[in-house]
Amino acid sequence: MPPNDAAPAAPVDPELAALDPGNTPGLDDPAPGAAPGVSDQAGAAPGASQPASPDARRDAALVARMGIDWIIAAVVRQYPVLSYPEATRERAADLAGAVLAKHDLFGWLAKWREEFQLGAFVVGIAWQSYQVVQKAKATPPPVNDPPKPAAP
Amino acid sequence: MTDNKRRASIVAVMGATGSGKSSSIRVALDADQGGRVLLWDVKGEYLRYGVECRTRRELFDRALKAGAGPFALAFRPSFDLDIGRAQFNWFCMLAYKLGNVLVVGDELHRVIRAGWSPAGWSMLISMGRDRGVRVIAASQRPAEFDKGFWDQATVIRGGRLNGEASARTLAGVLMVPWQDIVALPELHWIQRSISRPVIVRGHIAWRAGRPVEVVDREINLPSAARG
Repeated sequence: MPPNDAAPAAPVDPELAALDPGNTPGLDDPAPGAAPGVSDQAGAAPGASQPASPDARRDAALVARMGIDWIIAAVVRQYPVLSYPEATRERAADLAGAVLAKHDLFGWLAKWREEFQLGAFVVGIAWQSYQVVQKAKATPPPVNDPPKPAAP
Repeated sequence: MTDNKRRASIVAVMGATGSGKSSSIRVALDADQGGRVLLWDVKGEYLRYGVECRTRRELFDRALKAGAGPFALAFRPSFDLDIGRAQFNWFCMLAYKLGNVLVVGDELHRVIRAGWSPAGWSMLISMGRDRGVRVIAASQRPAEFDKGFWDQATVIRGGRLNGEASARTLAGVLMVPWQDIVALPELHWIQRSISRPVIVRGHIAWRAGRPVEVVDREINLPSAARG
């Protein structure tokens, strides 16, 4: 049906309309190479060479972050003596994710993920995680405070 | 039936990674008959329960298109924590304005911090009932939810937590020893509901590829706790 013949749309609640993403900019991921704060409808920076798509970047970031989180969780479970509070573990993973983001490694991971498909990407992350945990297993756990000498 | 007779329904599902939060949410989604669902789906775990929306535009347009009718939409928020928090506020406000909807928020420790929660979330928790909004909130960090949330929660389910501080918070709400929380096996849970003065212990089992709830035992709350 041509647009002109369409029935008029039902009026939208003004308060709901105020939440239209077009009326609330700046809440979306920036496009690769775009300035911070630009919505994801924006194009890539001129001259950028085939940047990874936002979806690929998001997937790569998520999988990488989960991999990091899994490594830290596995090590903590292996060595309860470390006894990290859960929040510390989570924040460590967040921090590691932030470092990856700062150096734009997510973009690199995203390209890798696009070239090698998600399955291979996940297997790669899992394999790297396994290697780290195996290495951690071979390392003696740190000891808590050493026993204090007896008082004279 | 989407109105649910305006009964408050705020379900808290707490637990560490692998404790069974997602499975508990899936059981709840399988049982829900509301017909209108908004999912905050960080990991894309619930795409069989809702149409994946990778942008706010997609989510907004699909929700509006449904009008007063049914919809099931799974929003994939930004991985960036600051953007994700802003999106969560918007997501909650949208749910509130839409009304008559089951809002499922997973991995909320990424968007709610101790002493701070988005205004939209507070609105949803304190006033959502009047608009027929029901909430399932899942997180790894119960200590970051404020007292207002715990006061409003109608069902609290706790899986294993590794940290003592988190376990103590959850234990206080569930009215059980915190060591019980730390010692829970994977997929086991302890639950308290405002509708019955009992502590329920159970676990998630898998049958024909679907998670199902199994109640192991029920214990009456101490009379002092029942007030």
